[in-house]
Order: sequence, then structure tokens, then C-alpha cells
Amino acid sequence: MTVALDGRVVRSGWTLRVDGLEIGEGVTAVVGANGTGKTTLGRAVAGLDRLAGGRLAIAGTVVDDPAAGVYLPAHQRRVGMVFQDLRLFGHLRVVDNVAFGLRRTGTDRTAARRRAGELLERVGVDSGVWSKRPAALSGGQRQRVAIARALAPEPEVLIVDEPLASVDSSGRAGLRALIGESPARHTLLITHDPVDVATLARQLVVLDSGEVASRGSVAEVTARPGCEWAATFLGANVVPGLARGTSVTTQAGLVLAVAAEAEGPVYVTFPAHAVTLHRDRPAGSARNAWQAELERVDIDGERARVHLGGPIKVRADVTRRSADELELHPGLNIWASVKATELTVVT
Amino acid sequence: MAGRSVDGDHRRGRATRRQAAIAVTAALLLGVSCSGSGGSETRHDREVVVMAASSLTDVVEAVASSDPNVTAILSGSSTLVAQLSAGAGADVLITADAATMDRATADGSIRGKPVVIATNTVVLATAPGNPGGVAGLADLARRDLLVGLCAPEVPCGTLARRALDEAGIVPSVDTLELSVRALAAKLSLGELDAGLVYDTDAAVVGLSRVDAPELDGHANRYFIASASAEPSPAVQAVMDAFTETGGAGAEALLAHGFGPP
Amino acid sequence: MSAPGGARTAPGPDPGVSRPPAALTIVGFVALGLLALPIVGLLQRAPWSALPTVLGESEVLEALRVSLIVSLVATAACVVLGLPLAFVLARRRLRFGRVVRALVMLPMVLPPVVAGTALLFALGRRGLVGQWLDSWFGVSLPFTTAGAVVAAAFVALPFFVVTVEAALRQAGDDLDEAAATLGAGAWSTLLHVTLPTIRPALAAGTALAWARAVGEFGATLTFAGNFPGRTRTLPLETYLALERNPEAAVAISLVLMAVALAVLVTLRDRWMPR
Repeated sequence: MTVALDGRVVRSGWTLRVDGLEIGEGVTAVVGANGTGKTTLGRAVAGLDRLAGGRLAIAGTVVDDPAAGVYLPAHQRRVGMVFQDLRLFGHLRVVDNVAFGLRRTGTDRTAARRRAGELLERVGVDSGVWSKRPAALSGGQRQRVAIARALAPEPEVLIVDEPLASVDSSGRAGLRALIGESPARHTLLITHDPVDVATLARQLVVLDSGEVASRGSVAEVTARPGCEWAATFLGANVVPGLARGTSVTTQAGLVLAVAAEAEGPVYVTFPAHAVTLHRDRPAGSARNAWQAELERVDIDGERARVHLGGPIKVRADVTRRSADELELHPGLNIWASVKATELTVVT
Repeated sequence: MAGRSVDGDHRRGRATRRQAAIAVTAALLLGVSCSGSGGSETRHDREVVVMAASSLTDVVEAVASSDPNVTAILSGSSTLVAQLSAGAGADVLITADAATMDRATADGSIRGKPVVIATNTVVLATAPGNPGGVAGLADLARRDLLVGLCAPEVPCGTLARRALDEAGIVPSVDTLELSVRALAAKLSLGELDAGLVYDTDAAVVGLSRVDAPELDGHANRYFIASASAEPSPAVQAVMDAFTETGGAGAEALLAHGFGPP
Repeated sequence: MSAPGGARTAPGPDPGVSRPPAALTIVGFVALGLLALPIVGLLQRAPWSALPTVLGESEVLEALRVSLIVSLVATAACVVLGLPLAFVLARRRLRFGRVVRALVMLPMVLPPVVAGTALLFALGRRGLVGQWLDSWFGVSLPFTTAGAVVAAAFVALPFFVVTVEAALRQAGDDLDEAAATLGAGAWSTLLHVTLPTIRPALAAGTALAWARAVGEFGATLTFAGNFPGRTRTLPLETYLALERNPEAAVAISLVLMAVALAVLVTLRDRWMPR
């Protein structure tokens, strides 16, 4: 079962072209720089934007094919959407927002409300606010309501657009878990957060300038990102750990010094080019240094991507010349370091 | 410079005010706002403000165009009297009947002695081509016709009612127009089948007439009076133009088909 | 920084930064006086003790009945016709959108007498469309209560359309899209999302249209004429009463004004954004 798109969408003079994209089951992350067409792709699948040409099929059923005169409107597709700006119904209570989709498909009010209650419980919205209007809720709670609302009609495809953009850090881990547990057969996660990709995505689609630059499993796409933006984005290292003040202890016990204070479970992210490699233990300002085992070196033009094992799995980008000077080869024991100011702590 | 003509027609004045009031959306109040006076308060030394019944529109405008000092305010007689009593400034009042002039003298807003300057009769007028087949005054009782009269509040309405009462005819009225000109206009558009209008107004819009002997002898008299018991020379000159044979006003009355006093 | 003195009692924006210059404030209050003065004038002439007698006159009651019927039917017509028009204006890309929008607003700025005359030429017995209504269906609108309804609806319709269109534009189609992804079709979305979202504007537009319909005078008089019990509404009765019995005119004016104020105050408090 796949969502298969082969076509183009035109939005106010701007075109998204997708050739032979197949989205498999589970969570697929759609990444790309701003304005590359991530949201447009989601809208086309949902039926909010029509194809200008080509064909879109969901689980084998053609839902949009202009040449054949086929267009199944959004409300007849089983595609749910969590909008970036949420779009909760301000005139309805929280519970009725969630019950909305069920009511439209003929479920009676009592049953729809009961089911909405179950979903709200599952996404962790306290029953004390069920009869309030969405405006009375916090950003994180509203985000949960929006997810519950989209899931209520049991869509085959769930599209989640930048789910954590408007949520403060304390609520992120829980929301991320919710998306990971999405019961929809296909979940399309539109994001620009490397942590989302590292923790949730099974597959990855990279968009660049209105076209698919790369797609496949996370490992496949990481190996050939297809564009500069994705290379940098996917080169980002994501290391889980436990924060205490300005230090983060990784699972293997490595302690990293960070610039910002935090408490509890976190992810430390840093770009591959921020990692420096040394033959000997480095001295000086780079306090975060550890000994690693070199697993593999990928040469790509003037750039060398070095995959390191050891206490943390990390990628390091160095110039090809440095790689030659350091005589890098698999199995080599080498020192890696990264400045505290290069580390971003994400909860 | 030609004499200015202040538009005293109430409906136009109200319309302008309404446009402005729409901005504050207090639309409901507007139907009421017509109660204010439309008279001109500021006067130059030689200016003579003449308030005249709307049936005299053409006559007064003719006088105003030959005398630059005359400013005309035209409206239904009863409206003019109400405006005067509310304090509107005017030097000369011309009404279309005795009753309205009596009201003005009774409440003291007119102190000069009223003089008859002309008469006017009502005629039975029909839509162009007489599509309703009106044959006489008694046909005004036909329910299948659209019949219009002047409202009893204005002189042409009083006159029409008196004539109909005397003839023993109960008309099947569809509208009581607030001015004889409005009534004549609706007849000429063919929206009404028949109505009683002044002879002069029927002539102005070229209405077809049907003989109605019952209307003979029913005429109203136009009265002129000055506001002050001792009018200024300028005001007296305007009065004379209407009262003296050969005066500009008297000539205009004759020219527009009004009867002699 | 806060305002000196303690004159302000109502909550509002902090005047410290947004306070207008003194001269502006003074002129503002002069304008307020201009608006309030006629009302004061009416109140000081009010025959309070005679009010029940005057308002109980059969002419007044009859005019009240005609006014209620005409204004309520006209308002209903405004809602039924205005809602689709507001949707067309807000949601469709019209070829001559600016012209169409100007056309819709025209009755708001048109002198009502002109509106009445135009209606006469269009729907009168000899009018453009009216002649066919007359010869095919035997329907003639002028000088009938239905004609008064048409006149009132003509001048009141823009108030409803403009109010609702603005709300529709402001709401956009974001919520409609959300509803579609939840399985709601066009009618279902309209009923369960769009209309409830613009409910305050619907109420405000209806109230404004009704207020305008009640106050209608010029177009009614020109198009529908004046006949007691049929087309003579309260404003016409006020006009006639002014010449027959000024006390009655003041009394009816007071009633109309009280109703208008009630509508506007309620609008302000409940439906209009502060």
C-alpha cells in the first residue's frame, strides 16, 4: 500500500514537480528549505490543491488525474491533516472539535463525543478542558487537540505540517511520541527539525526548488542527500542524553558541555562540519573531546564525510586535504572535538 | 447674477442628510430626521426669501430669475407653515389655500395681510392614453384602477376630498401623495391610472384629462402675505410683482395657466 | 506612563502613547455634540404625559403594524438574498469585482428618492421588468405592501451584504479546508463551520439591515406611495403627523429612536469587536 504521486501542482505561478514518488507505510518525513513545496505536497495529497497534470493514487485508487477527469475532493479522501496553524474551530468546544469528523461521517452525537473523549485521553488532554473553547488552551494542548481531531475519522493518510513549530520545549517529547504512534497507515511529517527525522522517520523525501531531490530510507537519503541544503541538514548529528545545567551526559557516559542550561532528557544536535578530528588529544578551548573509532570515510569531491563510532555515533565533515594529512582509514583510533557553542540542546 | 433657488423640497433635503447618516449606521433615526427646518437663516440685506407652495415652482423660479434678490424655498404649503412656526426665516409666504395661510397668521409667524393672487382648479387626469378607460369622476371608485390623490394634509388633497364628498363619490384610493408634483409624475409614468391634480400641473407634465363637471367650481385660492406687518421696500417690491396687474409674478401666473384672483 | 487624572473608568488601551492631541479631542467632542443635539432637541419637546394617548392613536398603531410587517419581511429577504451574494463577493474571483462591489454598495449612498425612482422604472407597472410581471402574472408592486417591502429591502440589502462579506473575507477559507480534510462536504462546511464562525457578523448585518428597513422613507414614498394600513410606515406617519399634530410626530420619533438606540447598543456590546 502506497501513496503514489507522479505529477505537478501549480500554485500562483509556482510549480511543484514530483516524478514517481511512492510513499510507503509508517512515518515519512518531508524535508527541504522554506518555500520548496513541502506544504504544497501535503495539500495535494489531502486534495486541497489540485494537480495541474499527472496522477495521484492512494492505496491503489486514483484520486486525482486531470487528464482522465478524475478528482476526488478532500472530504471524500481519507486523508487527515494537522495544519501548521492548527485551524481548530473556535466556535466549538474541544470535545466537539475532535468529534467533528465523526459527526460528518454519520456517527451520532453521543457516540462521537465518547470516541472524542477516548482520543483526547490518548493524546493527553485533561478532561477538565474538554468543554472549553480551543482559545482557552495552551499551545501544546491545542496541538494535541488538532492531532486528535485529525485522527478521529481514522484516516489512511495523516499529514502533519511542522507540528512542533508553535509548541514550547516542554511539550515536544510527548507530541513527538504521539506522531510516532500515529495509527494512520501513512504518516507524512513535514518538518525542518533534524530531531524529528532522527527519532520518527522511516523514510525521507527531500524537496528542493519544487522538485524531489532525493528519497528513500533515512540511511539511503543520508548517503546521497541530493542537494546542499539536505546535505547540511542530514549531516547534523543528533545525540540523546540527560541534561543537568550546562552539561549533558550521553548514554555511554560521555559528558558534553553545552552553552544553554537544560534539565532532563534532551537531544544534542550539531552539524557535521563542527566536528574537528585530531591524531592526538587536543589541547585548548575545545573542551568536548573524545576518542572514537573511525568506521568509514566517504569522499565526495573536495569533501570527506567521516563516520565515527565510539561513545557516540557521529559524522564529521572535513576537507579532503585534511583527510589525506590525517591519513584517515577505517579502524583508526582518533580524537574528535566540538566546541560547546556549536551544540544545540533540543528537548 | 440670477436669483438663487434654495431647494426646499423636503425629500431631497432628507435624502442628503440620510447619506451622511449612513456613516453612523443609525439608519432608524433617519425617517425622523426630516422634522428639522430647511429654511435659510442667513440673509443679506437686500435678499428676499420667498416661501411658496410647490405647485408654484415654475412661477416663483421665473420671478427669481428676473430679480436677483429673490431666494425661493419651495415645498408643500403645510410643510412651509410648519417650518415658519419652527423659526425658519422668510420674508414672503405664498400658500395654495386659505387654511394653511390661516395657520401661519394664527401663530404669528405671518403678520402681513394675506391677499389672493391666483386660483387653480383640480382636474381629473389619467395616465397617458387613459389605459384604465376612465370616463368620469365616478370611476375613481373602481377598485380595478390604481387611483392617486394628494394627501389631505396638502391643499390639493383638501380640495379633491371636498369635491369628491360633494359629488358623493367614495374613491378607491391606492396612494395619498405628499405633493401634487409627485402625483402628476406617477400619473405621467403610467404607474397610476387616474388622479385629481391641479390644472396647472396636469399641463406641465402633459397629462390626458377626462371631463368631470363635478369638479367645476372647486378651486383653491393662492394667498400671499409678508412676514412683517411693515415690509421693507425690497419685500414690498416682490409682493407687488405678484399682486399688481402686469407685475412679473402676476404675468408668470397667467403664463403658467393659473386663474385670475 | 499613565494618564493624569482619573477620568477614565472604562477599560481601554493605555492612553499614554496613543492619546490624541488636545485640539483633536476638542473637535471630536464638538462632533459628538452635533450628533447628540438633535436627540436632545427631540427629548425636550417630548410630550411625556400624553405619550400613551398619542401612541395609542389608531393611525400610529396602524403605521406601526405596517412598519413591523414591512421591515421584518424586508430583513428576511435581505438574509435570504444577501447571504449568497456575500459569498459570491467574498469567495469568487469576479471579472469586474470592483464594479460589482460598487453596485452592491450603491443603495447605501444613493438618495432614497433616487432609489425609489429607479425602482419605479424597473419594477413599476410600466417598468423594465414590472411590465412583464404585470402582463404575465398580474402582479403590480407600486402602491402595495409588497412594494414597500421591495423598497425597504433594496436600501437595506447592502448593509447586510457588506457586513457579512467583510466577515467572510476576514475568516478566509482556512477553517473550510480543515473541515474538508475531516470529511465535511460543501453544504456541511457552510452549515457547521462557516456560518457559525461568522455568526456575530450575521447578527450585526441582520440588525443593521432591519434598522435601515424600519427607517426607510424616501424610496418607500416614491415607489410604494402612501396609504394608511398598506404602505404608510412609521416614518411616513411621522412626516404627516408633523403637519397634523407635532406632538404625535415627536412621540413616534422617540419610539423609533429608542428602538434604534437599543439595536445599536446591543450590537456594540454583543456582536461588534471592541
